[in-house]
Amino acid sequence: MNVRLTAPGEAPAMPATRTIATPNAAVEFGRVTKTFGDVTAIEDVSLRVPAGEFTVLIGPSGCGKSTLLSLAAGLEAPTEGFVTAHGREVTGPSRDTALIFQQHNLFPWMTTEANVAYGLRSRGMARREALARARELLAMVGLSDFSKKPPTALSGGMRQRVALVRAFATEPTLLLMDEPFGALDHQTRKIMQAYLLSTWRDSGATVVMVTHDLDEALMLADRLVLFTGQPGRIAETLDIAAPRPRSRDDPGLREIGARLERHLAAAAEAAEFTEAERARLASR
Amino acid sequence: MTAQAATTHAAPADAAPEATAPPPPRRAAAPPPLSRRLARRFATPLSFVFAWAVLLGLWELGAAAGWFSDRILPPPSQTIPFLLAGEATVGFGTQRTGLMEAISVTLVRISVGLVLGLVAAIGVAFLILQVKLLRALVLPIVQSIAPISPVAWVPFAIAIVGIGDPAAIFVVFMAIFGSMCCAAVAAFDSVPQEYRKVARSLGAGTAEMWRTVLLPAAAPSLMTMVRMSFFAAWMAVLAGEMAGINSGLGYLIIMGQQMYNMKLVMVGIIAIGVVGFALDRLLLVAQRRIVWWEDAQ
Ligand SMILES: Nc1ncnc2c1ncn2[C@@H]1O[C@H](COP(=O)(O)OP(=O)(O)OP(=O)(O)O)[C@@H](O)[C@H]1O
Ligand SMILES: [Mg+2]
Repeated sequence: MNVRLTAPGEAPAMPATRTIATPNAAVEFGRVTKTFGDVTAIEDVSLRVPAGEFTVLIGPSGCGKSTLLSLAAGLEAPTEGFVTAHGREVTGPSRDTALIFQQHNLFPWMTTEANVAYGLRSRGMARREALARARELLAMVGLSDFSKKPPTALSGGMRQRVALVRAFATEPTLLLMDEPFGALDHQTRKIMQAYLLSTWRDSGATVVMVTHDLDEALMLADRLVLFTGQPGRIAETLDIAAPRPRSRDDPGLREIGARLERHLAAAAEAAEFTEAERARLASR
Repeated sequence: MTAQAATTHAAPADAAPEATAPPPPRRAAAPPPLSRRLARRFATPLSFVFAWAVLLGLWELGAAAGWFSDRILPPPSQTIPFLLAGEATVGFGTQRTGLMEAISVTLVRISVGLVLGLVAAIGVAFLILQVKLLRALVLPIVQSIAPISPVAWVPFAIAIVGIGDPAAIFVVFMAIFGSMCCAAVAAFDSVPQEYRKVARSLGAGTAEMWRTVLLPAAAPSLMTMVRMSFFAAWMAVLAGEMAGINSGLGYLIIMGQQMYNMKLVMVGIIAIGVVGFALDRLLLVAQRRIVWWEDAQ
């Protein structure tokens, strides 16, 4: 009794079939297709990302997840369809949107505090003021001692923490993260996830995160969006209502995890969750 | 051979079991012990002095033993007093110019040519990166200019601006502009896309992007490029001075040849070597200062 929830052809119907708690979409993709030359990265993708929610995108490599983030960030323009942020069409990079990649991409020619202050300076804050604010933010994550050091003097986990602080310094309302913790060891990754969760909850920002780590997806997401490739299409979206902090032993989560795993392993064309299962998971 | 390698490998492995192996080196690790730092600091200058002492000793010996003519290869015992006596001059009366003057004339030409070339190369690279059309229109021309031998520009230079500094500077400029510009375009092109994305998403505009991201990110390549160009400029100016720009170190050497004064030629060569080496070291120091976050070699 498997029900295909979102057939590729009827993608725009998808948002309508869902009840969305937050009426404001932080980001909305409307029938977006993006091609690079003769490669179709994503095709006819419609997705609403509710404001304040933590959305995780997963799918096989090359299915266009990074492309989707670039579109939301205004670094790329859609070939067809539209992308809006807070109801306005995205035409270029926005000051309210921050990007984080798998590589921390801290500027090695600046001290750690200057890196954190970068966005503030770009917004016209005076140098001294921006640096003071950066030190304050670094102190909050226990990196006071490193504010005058170059990023090369930091460990991988510290660098990624600084990258997060840099992104949050400008108080973005939308945080786009592309496999942000993919390069970290297991333990550091768990610490970073906890840090991200607490920062996100305090900030009220909307997070869209790409990950290949199922465990991470299950621990963090309010909402999972599964993609198939290639070209990338949404196979299915599902809500995870389990309260945080979540346990890895939660049978419900484990069940979703097992299914996700199967989905990814097979890079399945269709979703395999039944309506009843969805309802049960969502009410958890 | 294999067996030997295996046994030599086994010995230290036994002596230092894994548990006591030193932690992997980190960038911010404690500095190495003083003895090693001193050794590293003095190893190069010492071996440098030593190597030259041996070569000059052999030279002196060879000249004394009559292995070669001391008229063609004047030994240090002739060249050094000649240099110290200030006899390394060309021209007569008011035209008479000394070694120091020749050096300074040549250095000014190199510096001015180098700075102009650098500024122009980065400027043109900036335009090529900013304007797509210019990449198609200008880059091919720059690429074809790059391999032209600088001496080939001498007749042109003299015809346009006459003998003297402007011609020499023009030759230096032409010698380095093309290759510097190509290198600068490549350096800017290879700045990681993520740096730009991050800077743009943090709110940087075009000017700020260039100042705070593209220039610093490309700086290590640009500094290496400047050092390479310095050598090219040094060669070009000497060739130019030999080929008709009648002043400077290159001219001094050519006059030495024409007057069959090999001591003068030798002094010119020494000056070129010493000054060139000193300036390259200076540029290396500058490079380390400017791109402090990179390991320059
Ligand atoms: N700038 C680009 N130019 C050309 N093709 C591109 C570009 N960006 C992405 N693509 C292509 O679009 C497709 C989707 O790429 P994308 O990077 O979005 O995938 P992804 O889902 O993020 O993959 P991964 O999980 O491996 O990071 C790929 O086939 C890729 O080759
Ligand atoms: Mg990707």
